[in-house]
Amino acid sequence: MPVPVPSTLELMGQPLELSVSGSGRNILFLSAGVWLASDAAFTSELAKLGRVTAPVHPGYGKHETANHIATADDLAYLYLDLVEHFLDNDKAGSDVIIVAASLGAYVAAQMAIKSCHRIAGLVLIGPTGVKAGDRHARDYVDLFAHAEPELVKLTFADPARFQVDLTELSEAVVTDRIRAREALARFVWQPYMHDPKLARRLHRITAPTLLLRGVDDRIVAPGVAALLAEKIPGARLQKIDRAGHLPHIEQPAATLAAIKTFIDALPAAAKTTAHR
Amino acid sequence: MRIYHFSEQPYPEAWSLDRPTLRVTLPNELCRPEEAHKLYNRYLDEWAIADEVGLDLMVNEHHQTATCITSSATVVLGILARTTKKARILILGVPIANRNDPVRIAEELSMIDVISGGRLEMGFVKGIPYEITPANSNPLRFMDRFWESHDIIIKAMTTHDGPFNFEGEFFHHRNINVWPRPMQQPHPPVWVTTGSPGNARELGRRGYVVASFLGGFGATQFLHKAYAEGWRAAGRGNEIPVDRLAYLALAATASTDAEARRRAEPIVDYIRTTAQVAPPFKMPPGYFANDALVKIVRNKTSNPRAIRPIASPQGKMIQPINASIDELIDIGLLFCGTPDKVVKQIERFTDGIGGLGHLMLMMQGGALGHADTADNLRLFGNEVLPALKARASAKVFQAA
Repeated sequence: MPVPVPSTLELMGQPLELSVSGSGRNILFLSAGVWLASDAAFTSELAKLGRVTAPVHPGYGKHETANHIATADDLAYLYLDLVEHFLDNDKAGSDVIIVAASLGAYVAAQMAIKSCHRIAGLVLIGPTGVKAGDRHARDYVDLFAHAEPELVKLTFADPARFQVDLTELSEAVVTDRIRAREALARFVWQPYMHDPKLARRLHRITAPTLLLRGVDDRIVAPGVAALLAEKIPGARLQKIDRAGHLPHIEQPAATLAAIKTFIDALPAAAKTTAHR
Repeated sequence: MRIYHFSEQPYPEAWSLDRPTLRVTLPNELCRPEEAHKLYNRYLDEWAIADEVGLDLMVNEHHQTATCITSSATVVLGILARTTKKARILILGVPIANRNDPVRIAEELSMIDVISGGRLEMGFVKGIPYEITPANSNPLRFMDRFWESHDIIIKAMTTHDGPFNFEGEFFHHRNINVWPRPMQQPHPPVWVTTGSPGNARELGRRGYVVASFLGGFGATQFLHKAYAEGWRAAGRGNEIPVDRLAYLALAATASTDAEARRRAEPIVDYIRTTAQVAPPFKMPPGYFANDALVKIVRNKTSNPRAIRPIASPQGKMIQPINASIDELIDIGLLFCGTPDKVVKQIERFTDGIGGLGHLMLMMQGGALGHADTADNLRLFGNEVLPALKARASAKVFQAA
């Protein structure tokens, strides 16, 4: 198992915690940002496929969020800067594969519509960010209007594995969960879990794109992944069995296998750092 | 000391519905508009009685709840501005961080001040956590939005030389030019509610009226001391006028103690039921400090705003939600009895906390009917208020 190398960068006035692990092709992993379960273990699995850089979203780890980082779009600019920073500072290649879940997938789509110049491929797991239904439809369960046990039931295909007694958890773990809930609210509160402009910009995505959706996702309406598949040129939508909103946490092996197949089919990375 | 009559305008039928909560998720098919019509007009009549007998008036607002059908305090104030004659009319208050348009707030409050002939007391409130969902407002950086909204409202009321521009972090207006301007100059007195010493210090720095609810002796004096620190640090002088300090409690008086206690019961029901809300609405993300939330979650305290146990003057810890009438009197949450006893209880409380300028009293609460409320108000205005006014009380805060 590769050992992650933690580091801290400051970009756009925002201190950013990073872990870097594995070797090979550059992979940027953007966390789901859902406080009910950590995706740190999946990051380690992903490091079997390449050199994974995983930022901790502002507000989730030890750093507070700068006031000017308040939307998924702000995170997208932050991570575009991050990609340029690490591509220009190592010899691993000139482009990056982005693997991203839930909130992370929303951010990844916001990055890719701006430019796919450095993006070799895009894997969006349990993606969010667009609204498929009409104005009366609730495309996303209101994560902030349900008690946790109920929310766990909605989030996972097999909720029993993820129910926890909060009074039994350590203070550090409870603090992480509370901070994560707060940070997610900052980025997605309104418009809730989506940017109304995003769907009309998805045609700009030129990177090969794989969409992974849990068969039992009860958080996001099925129309969301379908809309992304329709609007992102050439995107392929693949279902993961026995998984809810977070297939990479619930079915890491199946998710990893799907990602490996996708990555293996991508053209080889250019070996030198491209001029900007 | 001024005394204000306060009612949340409850919808008492809802208490008998046997629902787990009266707030946020209670469907409005359970509201009969004909009944609400009667209630609004009845409660307005009661504020009119309070005005006649020399009391001042307080109005608040809540949303999506049967505990308080005042969903717009400014609507009620607009009526009271016209129908009452002498009373100060206190809005406590406008939830300015939950509102999208501070300029509209400045316009409405200026109108009310002018219609009433300069009788508006202008309270701004953060609002309880379960107001976040009804407003759909982002609970993150809530107090930053609160103070930016406040800045616009005050500047709108105090700028008289034509339009100005405000492009802040949360609110943008390119042409602010409020007509009419308020009658009171430079603007109606500002009140802010708080339960936190940090906010109380900030209010002291600004010299605004600090208002707190149902804290009893210790917590209230603690807040007022924090206020005094801010006041002195800002160079406002060593002495804090008591007209900067306000407190809200419950009150029932009658010609006999037994009758007063009977009246107190439905009002006390307010404390017992007001915080029954589904858990996620009680803890919107970002509303509470994280370290406080961690303790709440790990200690299984489902309600961070649950009224905390309060120490009696004898040091006994009393939980208000299941306290007896005597215990509530003892800890300063309820004034109850014949008028002479109520006068003594109020003096004991205000002396005990070092002086008070404004006492807001819930004299109608829960299912307390009109005849009882009207008699409660008349006894307060005709007997309690003159006795309190006749007494020489401190004009400045006396910290213990």
